[in-house]
Amino acid sequence: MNRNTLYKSTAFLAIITASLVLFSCTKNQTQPLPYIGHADIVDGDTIYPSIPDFAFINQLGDTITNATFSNKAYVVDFFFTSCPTICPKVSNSMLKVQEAFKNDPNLLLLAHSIDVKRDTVGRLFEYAEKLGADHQKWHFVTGDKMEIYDIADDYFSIAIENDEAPGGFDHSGRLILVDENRYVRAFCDGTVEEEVDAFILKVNQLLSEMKDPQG
Amino acid sequence: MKLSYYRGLVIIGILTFFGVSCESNVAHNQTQINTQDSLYQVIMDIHDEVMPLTSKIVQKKDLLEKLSSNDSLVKTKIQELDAAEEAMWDWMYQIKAPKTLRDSLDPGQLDEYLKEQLIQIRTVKDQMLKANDNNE
Repeated sequence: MNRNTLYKSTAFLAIITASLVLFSCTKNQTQPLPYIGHADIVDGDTIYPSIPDFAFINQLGDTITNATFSNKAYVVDFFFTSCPTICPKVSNSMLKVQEAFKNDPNLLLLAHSIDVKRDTVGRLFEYAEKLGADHQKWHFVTGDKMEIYDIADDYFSIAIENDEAPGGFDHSGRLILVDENRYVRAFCDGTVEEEVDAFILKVNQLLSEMKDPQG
Repeated sequence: MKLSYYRGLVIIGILTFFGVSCESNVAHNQTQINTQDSLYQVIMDIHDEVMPLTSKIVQKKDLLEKLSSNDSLVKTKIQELDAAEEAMWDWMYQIKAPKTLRDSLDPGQLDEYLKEQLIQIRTVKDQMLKANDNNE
C-alpha cells in the first residue's frame, strides 16, 4: 500500500466515523421527552395520566388555576417556609430553573406550601422576596389543605414509582416538569445539583418541542 | 538605649501573650462551633427521618374525618393524629440553626438550647410514630 492510498483510506475511515458520531448525536437530540406515568390503553389509544383542575392563592393574593398555565410548561415543587432542611435546597434549585428560563414566557414555576395553616399569603410573599423570585413567573401557593395534599398525590403518583417512595412527597425534594397539556414529562431530585442541571436540559428540550412540534 | 530595649521586649512579650491567648480562644470557639453544628445535624437527621410520616398522618386523619364525626373512638384517633402532626409543625416553626443564634446566645446557652431541641424532636418523633402505628 503506497502512502497516497494510506492517506485516502485514513480519510475515508475518519469521514465514516464522524458521520456515525454525528448521526448518533442527531438521533439522540430528536428523541422527544417521554410521557411519565402508568398509561392506560383506551380503544387502542394510549392515555397517560394528567394533572386535574386546581385553584389556589399565590403570594400576591391572586387566584391561580390551570388557566394560569394555559399553553405553558411549568415546574412544580412542594415546600413550606419553616422547613429547616430539604426545602431551602429545593427552592434554590427552583431559583436556578427560574434564572435559566427568565426570558422565556412559556415556562412558569409553581411551588405549593403544605403548611397552609402557617404559610399565609404574606408569609409566602416574604419567602418569595427573600429568594429573589419573579412574582409573575414563580407562584408560591396556599389553599385548602386537602386539595393541596390530593394534588401532591396526583403529581407524585405519576412521577414516582411506588417502590421509590418510602415516605411521602413532603420530604422528597422532587421537581416535576408538566407540559402545556398537563402531562408530566420529567422529574428530578431537587437536592442533587447534577440532577437539576440535567433536568434543566429537559425543560429546554420540552420548550423547543412546544415551539416546533414537528421537531 | 538599654531601657528602651527592655521596654521593647516587654511590649513584644505582652503582644505575644495576647496573640497566643486569642489564638487558643479562637480554637476553643471553633471546637465548640463544630460540636454544636454536629448536634444540630443529629437533630435534623431525626427530623428528616420522621418528616415523611406527615403526609401519611394527614391522609389518615382525612379518611377518619370522612368516616364519622360522632364516634368517640374515631374522634380520639383524629385528635391523636392531629396532635402528632401539629407537634411536628410547631417544632419546625421554632427551631433555629446555631449560626443564627451565636450573636444572641453565649456558647453555654447555645449548648443548652440544642440539648433541649434534641429532647423535643425525640418527643415529636415518638409521638408521630405512635400516632401512625396506632392508626395503621
